[in-house]
Amino acid sequence: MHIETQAELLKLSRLLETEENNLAFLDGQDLGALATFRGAVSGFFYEQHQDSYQRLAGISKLVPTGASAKLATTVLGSVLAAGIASELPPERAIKLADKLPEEFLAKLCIHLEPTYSRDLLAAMPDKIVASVAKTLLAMGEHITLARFVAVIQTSALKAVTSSIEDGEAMVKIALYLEDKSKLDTLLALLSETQQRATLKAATDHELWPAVLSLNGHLNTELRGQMGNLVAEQGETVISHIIEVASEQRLWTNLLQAVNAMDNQHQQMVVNVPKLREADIMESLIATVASENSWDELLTLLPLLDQEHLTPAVDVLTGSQPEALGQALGQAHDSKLLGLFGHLPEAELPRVAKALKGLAAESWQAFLARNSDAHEIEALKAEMA
Amino acid sequence: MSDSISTLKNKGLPADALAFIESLPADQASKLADTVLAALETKDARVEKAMNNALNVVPGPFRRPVKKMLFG
Repeated sequence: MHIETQAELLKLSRLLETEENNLAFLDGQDLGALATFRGAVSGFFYEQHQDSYQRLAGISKLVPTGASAKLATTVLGSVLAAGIASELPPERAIKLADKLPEEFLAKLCIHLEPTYSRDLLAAMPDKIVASVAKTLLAMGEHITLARFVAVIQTSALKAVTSSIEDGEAMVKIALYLEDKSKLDTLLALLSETQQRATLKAATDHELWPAVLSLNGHLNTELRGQMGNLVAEQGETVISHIIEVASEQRLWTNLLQAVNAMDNQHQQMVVNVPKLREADIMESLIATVASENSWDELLTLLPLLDQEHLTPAVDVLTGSQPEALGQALGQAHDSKLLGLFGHLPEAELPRVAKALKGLAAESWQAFLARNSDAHEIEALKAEMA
Repeated sequence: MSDSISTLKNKGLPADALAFIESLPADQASKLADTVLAALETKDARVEKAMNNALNVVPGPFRRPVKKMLFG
């Protein structure tokens, strides 16, 4: 199961108070549709009891905050208190929060309905947010923390992130973020030590699928920054990441990461021995073909040394020649020219044969567009 | 349409959530609707229990007016 589907089903199982594997039949559903469904059901559950929350909030307003806090902890419990808090004016809820014990407040936050508590969380002072976040972190409540990250003020987010040293927690919070466009803000707030901690956690806790998947949501600058840190992990880690990309079909994410690295790191990563393995190369080309991420791959192929280029040509001319035809039709010509111009003389005959055979039509169209390109002169001569 | 789907519809489950359930194969739709309904019942019971707990701590003479405030 794709890591982001796993995360979505975990969130849904929490809302529906059922075991995660009871919802495994939803694997394969569109992620956006699942998230929309969850949001609608969450709002629906809240609205079923909203009238009760409003009545209790009305009573709460009549008594001093200290008494309300006492009532909440001793009688109402965190579930009901969460509903009531969402129905109170934010300033009143904040006064109440200040009087609640940290652990109770953290439990209350777990039960807040995301849409109805958005204003309250956004108005919460940094000090309270940071303190609750610390408790939630200790409780392993990464899903709740991810919800916080989405709505709290940047100053509160800074306070929260500065206190997180646990790399595993950081990866999980990022994975559970509803709005992945917040990832850039979140990651930019982490120090280099914290960023390195997330990568170490990825290795220590088998979180590379999550890290690779999240990488696809980062802006190019951060992707490059993280990519360089990944490359510095060395060959063993890179080989493991390649295995993960192969198993989970996360090649496009990995290629994007490598493309964003600096040239020195790119050279190192694309020439690790693991990439020479036939099944790895088969998986890479098949995923690139199915996701049409040719440009990401073709940019890197000219960086391969001869030993690594041969297995790639093996696949493109042998087991998956249809992929070569597809690349000719879908990739940018400049990227293809880069590859063709980089082909060693020894590889020209079999590439020419494959192009003449299974990809003839696409090749003719490509030729018509690039008739005077010097990168394909040798190939054209071979085919003449 | 399964009983659970009808019940959820009657209780006002939003149209887009219903549409998602109904887009699934019949057995999966029924299973998901059962799960949503079971969760709703659990949450109903939890809220009702908490409301009654709240009422029980109200001193006797005030219980009636507070009950009216809480339950209408």
